[in-house]
Amino acid sequence: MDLYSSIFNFMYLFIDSFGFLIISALGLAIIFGMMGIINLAHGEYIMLGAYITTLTAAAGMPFIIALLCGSLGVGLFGGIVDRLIIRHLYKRPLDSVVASWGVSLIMSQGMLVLMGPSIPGLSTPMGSINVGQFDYSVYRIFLGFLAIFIMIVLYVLFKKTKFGLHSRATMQNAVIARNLGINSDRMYCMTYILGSVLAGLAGALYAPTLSIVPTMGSNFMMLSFVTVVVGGADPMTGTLLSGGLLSLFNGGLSMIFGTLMGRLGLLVVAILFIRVLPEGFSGLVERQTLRVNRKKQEAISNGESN
Amino acid sequence: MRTIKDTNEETVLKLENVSKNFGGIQAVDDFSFEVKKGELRCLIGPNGAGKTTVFNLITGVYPVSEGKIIYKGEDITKMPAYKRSRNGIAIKMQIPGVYESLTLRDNLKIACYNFLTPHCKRRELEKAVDELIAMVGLESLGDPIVGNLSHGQQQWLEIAMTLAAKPDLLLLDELAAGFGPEETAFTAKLVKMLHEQGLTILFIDHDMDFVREIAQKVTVMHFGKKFAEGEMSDIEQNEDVQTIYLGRSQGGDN
Repeated sequence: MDLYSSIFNFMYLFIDSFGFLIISALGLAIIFGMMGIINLAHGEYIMLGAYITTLTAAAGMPFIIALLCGSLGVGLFGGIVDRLIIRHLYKRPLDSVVASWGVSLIMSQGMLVLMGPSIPGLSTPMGSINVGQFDYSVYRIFLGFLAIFIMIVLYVLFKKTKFGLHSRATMQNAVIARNLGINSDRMYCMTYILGSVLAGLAGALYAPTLSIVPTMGSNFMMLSFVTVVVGGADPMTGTLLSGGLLSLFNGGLSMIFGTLMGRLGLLVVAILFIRVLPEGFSGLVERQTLRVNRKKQEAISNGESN
Repeated sequence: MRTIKDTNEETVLKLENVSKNFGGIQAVDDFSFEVKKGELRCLIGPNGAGKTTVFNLITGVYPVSEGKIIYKGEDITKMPAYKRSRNGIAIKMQIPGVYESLTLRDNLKIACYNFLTPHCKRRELEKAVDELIAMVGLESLGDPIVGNLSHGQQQWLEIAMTLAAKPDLLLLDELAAGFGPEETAFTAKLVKMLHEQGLTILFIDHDMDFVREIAQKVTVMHFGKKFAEGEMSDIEQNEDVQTIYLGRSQGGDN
């Protein structure tokens, strides 16, 4: 293998892994980071998104419509689960674990009863390109870039819009938010729905690349959990940096030793990382920004007193 | 033009036999009182008298155990807190109720959004934020993370956030706490100015000079009940009030 195709191979593995980690972790990260709810049904939400997308596409709809149905359908489902169960468990992480675990069992077993052990999958769109001795899926490269695009959209949503500011305000202190006229109950519900939509989107986007079985959620669950744990409480910065770091090791090790070692390496890096920085990337970034801001503030007040 | 009914005598807020108990502790006990439109009323009383709890019942942080709260003729006893805020009840809390991890302008934007016309332009929002910053004199700060501001600056920010709602009834819980004499004087000036603009203001304070300077009418609370009510000068002369509150025994200064 010549140098260029090795570089390309590594880049491909990195982008593929990065896209997968980010897209599958974002829904979990937002629900955990914003609401303090550990959604153990996250994998099953992704599974549901994949099923809806596959069935809609199989019924003759264009893939993009099927994609929308998959993500919005899971959003609707998440909204119902929120109203029935989760709203009683806001800011109660341990209770939410038990409840959402129950939801996940009902969903995967329910899907097994409903649709049988598997349904025919879709073919991967966009074809492939050949570099060196390997063929690469264009769709998976596209997903890597799409992950970045989704991050940008979410960043703007949370930093610049009314929904984003009110959602962050509610999650930080609901009493102040209500005193400022914010319907905090609605904010919680909408944030949970947003997390569900993102889980559904993950399922929808990866539906054409995987076999569609009721237990497929567990593939996503493990990796998205690792990503969120390494990322820490900040759903944006944390997930981005953690996805990047883990993919670097996953991609590199996969290229040299194969997929299994890539996966193992990812876990080892995650464990070491949490040992050193228990709060994940978010804790590290927060400390740095606070320090820089404080210095800036001190400089301003020093300037004033002179 | 306002209708004849809408005079200064109109009752803005009325509490009817309101009680609140927290697991056996009677924080507010059969408390009734009325605030008229345009009034500048002070609620005083020893620590633990239930003043802050009354505020929390008015804003809807806690549900009442018994009794009724009437605001502008409407029973709001069961109304959720956010709707009370949208109807014009604003509060400046005792501990600065600001978002420490967000920036100054983001804090103000959060407060402004609900009270501007829906889908207002970004420029209008920024303008509203600029006006509020100017009103409390924080222009020189820029847009820092609020956690890095001093206690006083956070207090001012919260006042600005409270005013974003253009409220009809303003509740101020120990506004001057932790302020130096100069800041207290500025606060008194600001409260008077807001009152002159027609705001109905209800405030809690322990600083008697501050209360004397701005309050017209005073309600004294003791053990969750209404103990006395009247003009500040009468209340200060009232011996019972002096006993419970001003820290004087009936035998003389202690």
